[in-house]
Amino acid sequence: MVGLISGAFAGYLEAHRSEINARVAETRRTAPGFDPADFAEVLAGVLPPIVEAVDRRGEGFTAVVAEVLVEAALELCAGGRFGGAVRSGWEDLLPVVAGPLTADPRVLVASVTNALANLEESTSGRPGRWTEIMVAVAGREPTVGELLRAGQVGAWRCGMAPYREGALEIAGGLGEDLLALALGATPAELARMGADPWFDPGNPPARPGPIRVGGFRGFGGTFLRPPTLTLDPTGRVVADDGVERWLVFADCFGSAVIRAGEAGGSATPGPGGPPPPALAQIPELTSWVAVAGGLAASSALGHAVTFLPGAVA
Amino acid sequence: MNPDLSHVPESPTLPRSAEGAARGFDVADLYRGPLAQPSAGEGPALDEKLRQAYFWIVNQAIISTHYDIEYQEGPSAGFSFGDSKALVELPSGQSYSSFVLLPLLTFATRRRCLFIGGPGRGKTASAVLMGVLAGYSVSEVRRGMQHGHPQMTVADLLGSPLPADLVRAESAAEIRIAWRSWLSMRVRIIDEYNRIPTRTQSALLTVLGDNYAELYDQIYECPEAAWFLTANDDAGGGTYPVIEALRDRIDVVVQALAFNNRFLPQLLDRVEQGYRPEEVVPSRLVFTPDELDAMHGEVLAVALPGPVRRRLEFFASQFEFFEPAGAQLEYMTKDTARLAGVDLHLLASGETGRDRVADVGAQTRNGLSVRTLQTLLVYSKALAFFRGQPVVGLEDLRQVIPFVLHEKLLPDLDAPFFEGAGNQVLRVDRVGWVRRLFDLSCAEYDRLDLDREDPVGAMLAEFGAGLQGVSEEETRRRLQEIERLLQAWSGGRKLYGTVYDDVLVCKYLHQRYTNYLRWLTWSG
Repeated sequence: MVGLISGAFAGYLEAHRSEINARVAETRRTAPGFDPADFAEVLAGVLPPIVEAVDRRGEGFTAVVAEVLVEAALELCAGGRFGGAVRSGWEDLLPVVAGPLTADPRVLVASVTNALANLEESTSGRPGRWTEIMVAVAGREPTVGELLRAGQVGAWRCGMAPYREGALEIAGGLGEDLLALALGATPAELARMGADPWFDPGNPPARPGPIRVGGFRGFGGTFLRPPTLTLDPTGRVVADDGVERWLVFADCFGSAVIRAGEAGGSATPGPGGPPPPALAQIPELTSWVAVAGGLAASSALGHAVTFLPGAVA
Repeated sequence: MNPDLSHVPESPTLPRSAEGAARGFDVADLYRGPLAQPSAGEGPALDEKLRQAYFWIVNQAIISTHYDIEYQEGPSAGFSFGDSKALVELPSGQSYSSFVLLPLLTFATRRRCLFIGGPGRGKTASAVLMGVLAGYSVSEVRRGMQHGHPQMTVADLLGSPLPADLVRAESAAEIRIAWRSWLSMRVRIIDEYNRIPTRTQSALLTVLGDNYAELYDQIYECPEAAWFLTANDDAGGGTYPVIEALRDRIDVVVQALAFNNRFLPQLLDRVEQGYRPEEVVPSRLVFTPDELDAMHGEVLAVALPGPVRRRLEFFASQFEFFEPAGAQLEYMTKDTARLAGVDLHLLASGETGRDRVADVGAQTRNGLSVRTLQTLLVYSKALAFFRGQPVVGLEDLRQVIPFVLHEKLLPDLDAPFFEGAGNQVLRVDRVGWVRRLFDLSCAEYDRLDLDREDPVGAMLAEFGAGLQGVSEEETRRRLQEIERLLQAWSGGRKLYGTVYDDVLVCKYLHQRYTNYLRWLTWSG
């Protein structure tokens, strides 16, 4: 049962009724899985607080923002993607970023939605935590650019390990207060994070134990066979399971495995010679590489890549 | 099955496995996802946009399940069916439907495409889609479409003189013409062109071939355009026979294949919802005039590597040669026989010793024109461009050849080749026959090991370096080399098309060196 819509958003809907009805009819025609009732529920339940927040600013952008929100919600509903983290993010975050929304509603709505979807799809992504960080950042009345840059840094913090290098660069350009909110770090701690992927400013004394990434595909993991490790020319860990190659990322915030192509290809082999003592704990070691702040190793007995923070070659 | 007609996926249409590793991971990717960001002015690359258009058309508009342009990227599964042991291969690479791809390549290269096939198979709808992709509204495209009919006059096609001028004018030059608006369009469609009377076909030929229209001494220069013509029956049917020159101007021929009835639910949806695909083409697939010009330039910039070009040269050289037609080498061609009006078989009956099954030239009644070869080059480049490749691959050439040569290479249906086991069907299946011709030619090329042993190629390369500074002694050495090669070839080797072309090249080079030698000795 769709609740009654009132306030500024009701005024917008009333003024654009025929136009929205036509869009809904067109979407019904072109997207067979689209259910107008779901969309109506989003219109009644999710959008009004956002539009009210924009309207309260009294800057006259209510209709523009409402139009963008309706279009985006319709597109997401048509594709069956208005749910989970996306919906939660719209409910919790968008009403508190009314200022940036009035400045560039299309960019902000698309960026927030896409970030939430990407975090949700990532195995180590934490979209809920990201929303909390963004809500905190929004309290400082940032510009759209500041908010989005803080969001990129925050996404790394929330588990998106492949973004580490880009996020470090962006974090260096954030002011101290935004850096603290987005990353929970001071500029000095940020410098240390650049050198040591395992240093977590939120938990400085702790160094994580061995981290296992990947796993057997038959049990929901990545690799078909126990992988062997090399480094690519930029120093990233490449795992080859004999069928495909994968880039493996891990740091204090999370981990990820990303397909890099067919097996074989060019890569720098791991160091020769006897393995370091720290790898004695890996049974039937098949390969190892030295990475920033530790070692990564593979075993003939397992389908995971094991990162050993702090271990030295 | 049909999630959203207006949806164009953000994901690349031709992802390459190496890209993920090479590009690194940009934190900006965080904000890319299901909702498109507002355009910052930069659209996708033109080849990507063309592929997006292709996939939208095959998935949403034409519903073509015929992936007959097959690419392999590694092993592929194959199954044979029926008495004919028809092989069904599951391509391991991204493959395409010719009925959609060839018109799009025509669109990109501004050439001329003929749709053939029975009524109601989407020929006209495909042509209209091309017009919409060029930025015209559906109604503009439909208004601009010329429908061939037996009473169609030149005025119907091109325009009419202004009546007042006809009365007042004292010379033809003073008669202004109200040109038909379709002449200025970048996509021109002639529906059922084989129903146009012969005289009007001649007027059409001028526009189609030379890109201008002429009436009462007035000339209208048309902009560059892609042409799409349709014919229900191009094999001799139609109200009027199509004049040969007009037929020769058509660059590619694609056949509209049958609808797959498993996709009836999508037709039902269209009936119930009351829409046509051309009315819902996503705006981001529409090309601006500047983009069309740029795309044409990018297609032509695709490189054709020497080894691929050489295979085409070898293939094309096999068809024109016809030894019984002339006493002098230069006139030993099928064209000589055609001009004389003499039946090829009558002339060929005196031949002995030639293997007419192995000789692919014996399968045709004609050779390839310069225009046809240019068309092959352009479409090969266009296909490579469409596939996002900087250079033409042999498979690109192989895939376009059947559609370019469909009406250009005329089979000699009485040739012994067609009597061979499994070859009878090639009398009917023109695409399959031309593809087989090219495969046979490539096999022969490999057998002769021409990639490594090509003395005439080496001679041409030597000559191509220029004659500046070449000594008299060196010139004589080259002349002797040519004579030695011809001597070796003449010793018992049957003359085939490929050798014929090389013999002519040797004669040409010999003549150039002889003239140069004469000049050297004269100048002291």
